Amino acid sequence: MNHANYNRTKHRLIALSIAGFLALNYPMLSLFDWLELKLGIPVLFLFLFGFWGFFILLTAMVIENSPGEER
Amino acid sequence: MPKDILIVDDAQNIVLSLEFLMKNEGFSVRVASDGDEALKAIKEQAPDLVLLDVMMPKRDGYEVCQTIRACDDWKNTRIIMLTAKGRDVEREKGLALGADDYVTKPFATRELVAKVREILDMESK
Amino acid sequence: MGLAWQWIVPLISISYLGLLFAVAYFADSHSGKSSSLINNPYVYALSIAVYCTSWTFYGSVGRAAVSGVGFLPIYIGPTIIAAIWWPLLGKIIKISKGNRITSIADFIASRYGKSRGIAAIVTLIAVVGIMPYIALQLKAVATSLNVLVHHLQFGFSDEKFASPWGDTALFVAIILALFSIFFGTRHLDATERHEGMVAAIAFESIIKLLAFLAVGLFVTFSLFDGPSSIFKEAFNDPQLIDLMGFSALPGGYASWFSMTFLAMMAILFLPRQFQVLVVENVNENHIRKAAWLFPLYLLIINLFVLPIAFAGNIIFPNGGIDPDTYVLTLPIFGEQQWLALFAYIGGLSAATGMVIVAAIALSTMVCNDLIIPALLRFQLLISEDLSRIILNIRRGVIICLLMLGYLYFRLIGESYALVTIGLVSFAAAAQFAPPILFGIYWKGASRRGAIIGLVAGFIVWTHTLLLASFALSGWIPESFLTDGPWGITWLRPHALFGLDIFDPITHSIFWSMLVNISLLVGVSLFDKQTAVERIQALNFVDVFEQGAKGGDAYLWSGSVSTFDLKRLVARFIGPNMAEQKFSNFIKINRLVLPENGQAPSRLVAFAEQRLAGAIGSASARIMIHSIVKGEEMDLEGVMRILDQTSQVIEYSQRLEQKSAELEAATQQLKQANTRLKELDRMKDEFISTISHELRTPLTSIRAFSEILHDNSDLALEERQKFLGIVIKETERLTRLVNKVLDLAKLESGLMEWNTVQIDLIQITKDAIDTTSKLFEQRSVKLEITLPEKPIMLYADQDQIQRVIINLLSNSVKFSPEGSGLVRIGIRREVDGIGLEIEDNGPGIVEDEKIRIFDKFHQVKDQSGENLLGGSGLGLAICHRIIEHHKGHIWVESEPNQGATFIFILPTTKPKNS
Repeated sequence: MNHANYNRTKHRLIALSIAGFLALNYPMLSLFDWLELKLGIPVLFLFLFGFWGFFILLTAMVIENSPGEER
Repeated sequence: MPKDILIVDDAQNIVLSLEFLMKNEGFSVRVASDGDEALKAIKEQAPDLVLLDVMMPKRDGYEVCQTIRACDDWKNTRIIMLTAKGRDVEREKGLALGADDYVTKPFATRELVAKVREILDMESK
Repeated sequence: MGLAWQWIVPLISISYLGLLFAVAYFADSHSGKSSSLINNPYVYALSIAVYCTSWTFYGSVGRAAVSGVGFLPIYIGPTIIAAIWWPLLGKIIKISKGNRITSIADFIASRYGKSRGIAAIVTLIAVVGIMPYIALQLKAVATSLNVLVHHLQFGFSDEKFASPWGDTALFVAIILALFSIFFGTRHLDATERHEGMVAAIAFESIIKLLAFLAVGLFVTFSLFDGPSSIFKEAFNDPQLIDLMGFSALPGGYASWFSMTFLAMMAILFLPRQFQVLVVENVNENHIRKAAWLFPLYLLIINLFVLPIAFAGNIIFPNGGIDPDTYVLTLPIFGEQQWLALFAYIGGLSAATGMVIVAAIALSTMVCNDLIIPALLRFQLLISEDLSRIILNIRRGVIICLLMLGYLYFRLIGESYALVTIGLVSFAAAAQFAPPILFGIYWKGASRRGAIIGLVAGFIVWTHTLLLASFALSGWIPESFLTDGPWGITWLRPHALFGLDIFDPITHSIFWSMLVNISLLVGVSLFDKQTAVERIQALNFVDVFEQGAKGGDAYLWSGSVSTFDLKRLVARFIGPNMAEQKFSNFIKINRLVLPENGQAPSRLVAFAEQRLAGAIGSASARIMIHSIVKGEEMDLEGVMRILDQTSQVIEYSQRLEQKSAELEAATQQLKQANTRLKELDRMKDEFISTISHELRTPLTSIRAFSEILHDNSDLALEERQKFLGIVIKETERLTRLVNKVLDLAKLESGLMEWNTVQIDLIQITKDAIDTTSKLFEQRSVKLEITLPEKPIMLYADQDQIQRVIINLLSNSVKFSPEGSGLVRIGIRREVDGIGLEIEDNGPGIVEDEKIRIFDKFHQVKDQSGENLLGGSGLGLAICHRIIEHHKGHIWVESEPNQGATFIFILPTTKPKNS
């Protein structure tokens, strides 16, 4: 495996993980803590599930775009 | 009918001396001061012999030589190359491109005249 | 009520378990082959979903029904950490494969010097911590069974619960124990993966997902008109609207944060997760896909939690139905009995999966790290073939574990909501995070530090969560909670040292992690590691650098016969297996066995690894130690070997450096060579050019001399003309020779300089006078801009004048005849006096601007015509003269826009003139 590539992917994943942890905690979450419906769904639920899905998508893209270990 | 000789050189004084020498031998002489002029003169009428300097502006002597040899109409035209660069490689190059002989500047006038005669006589035989 | 549900439900449950057996059996029969069912990332990701237990299946809805989004951190945490699984988990797996790790206790023990003490501590924590979780699953299965049967039979009337068999949970426990025994104790070597079990739990993961989605879709789209209709209805209910924000979450953001953190740790370090993630991993590359597939699974299975919870709250408004059972009761309410049954099967899947994996993981740990060491210590293992005995021990352990779980359930389970029990277990598993994470990234973490940190963290956990839960369930007096033990208020379990701003879980996590980490780090910093610890620390931290070979090979310096060694291993894994493994190893590694029967140290290390696979690394070490005669290598010996290794590394680094230097030198040589070749070519060209320049006038001179000599009859006029040519050419030749000589002098430093104070203005005027004739000849106009006052500087008057004359005559030659215009000007510059001469000739192209100052470089136009008609020496000489005066000369030009030659001379007096 190309070591530089592996390291770059690794750093991207770590950054992604930290960003996810920050986005899904206080104070970010407090921005969405209002009792209101958007598209018939409470705003908080919408954000949590929406960001969750987005995060998974990003993870998948970072991993699948990196070259795998050769065996 | 006198033989037709074309003198090609960019150094005006050299042309002058060559012109005198050839006319003195009874040849008819035309002159050109660079490669383009030379080719123009050849196209007008193919000379019997070209005294061709190598280092000239626009088209150098090698190129002119090559052009003459590439055309069947001018296969009877003899070529003597003149060069001030005395290296063997220049000589080889000239002969390889189809020149009949090769003279290094400065040349002995008598030898040059003899060479011109020899080449033209051979041809007439 | 025509159907006898009280028989149908248990029957279907048993049949479902039978189906699982079939799946497992099928997978086991393909295990290890290319047709293996589990050798792909999808099954791997599904098996990780054993994370979703009945706690997810029933408890999420229950928690959502009272706290809104409070259930979500448990699933968001794993999603966040899954992103870095590839580097993190990849490292753990690589280490585990290299060291034949059988469990999380084995992993930690192996890292900290294969210590039996630490293995036992981890095992104890795991058993005590996970027991509530197993109890929780038993409770969930029993409750769901009872609720299902009751409501199927009696609907939602007020009939009393009547369990068909009295104690459902006991039966569930027994059946699950048998099931675990079947899957988990077929082979002795715990590192040989349980393919059947993995296939079964992957299958269960599909079932529970489908069941939950089915219920979710039914509730959302059949009982209601989509999620928005549920939320809109709830939005108008003052009791439910609060569930849509954070205010409903007990503990608020702090609790959210701590639960996210807990879940991040639990997904890696719960014993059952470690089992499926690490021990059962077939191929490290499967992590890549699992790192996003598993979070996707979590997302999907949670999609309908909130709609179901709100729907349940709307349909059962007065709290008569336990929200934990909404997944079952809502389908029954909608008269979908079979859907309810399917949901129940989903819950059963979730519970059984967890129990089976946890039981297998824990039994391996208890057997290897508690029972066998004890038996060894008291020398109770005297039989020749121990493999049967060990297998039976494991089976016994599994039964004990489930019975303990049942007991726990009976004693306090009833009083607790599902989710709280789960979190208590999570908090226990989180104690493993510091020794593992520090252990794989910090070589300094020591055994004593790990033990003290673990024990302290566990004590805090026990006090703040376990004992507190006992108090809550009335097992011990409630005053323990309210007043603290023995009335010491600062020891109150939920407000240690008076810290009462957190919810109990956050509070416990804060304190236990604080003491665990700070003691681990603090003690390690002051500790001295033993040889084994140092080697293992190196093995773990630098696993990617060293490969997974392990450093065991040089640990044994004593002697043991191959026969004894083989007999020892045979006692644990059976003689046939031992014979086979040994001969394979010897063949693959081409080991040559010495004639005296001594085992090579690699074989000893191999035997230790085989044993570790069966009984754990700590016990294996003891066993090998017991038969190897002579001492284990002492610290000094090990250090010597380590030093040698590092010397080799250093040497190879030096070699690498040398070769890099060599490469650089080669590169420099190449460049120098290219430059020399270029110089050579230039010299060649120089000679060729100078030869041409000299021969051309010589040719004319000789030709005309000979003509004059041979033709005495020439007319006088002609004779005069020819002689004139000879004279002119001779002059030209003289000038050229002078220039060449000058240049040679300049280059060799032989030029004599006459440096005095001069007036540049005067010199310039003189130069203009000298060249004025040239300007007239070509009708080129000259514009002169000179200051009135003299400008004094130190220079060689003749040479500077020569430069100006040269530049002026060049500019005339360049300018078009008739319309030419040359400007000359002098002005003061920052670094001296500048003189510039501008013409309106054809200009100079970019790459000529520097070469123009090379000797014999003749400026040519596009057709190659020599525009200057000069020797190509003038500018080279100018360049050298100006350089000698510490000034500089250059040209500025755009093609077709003229050229400006500029030189600048310093005004200061040169020092050495």
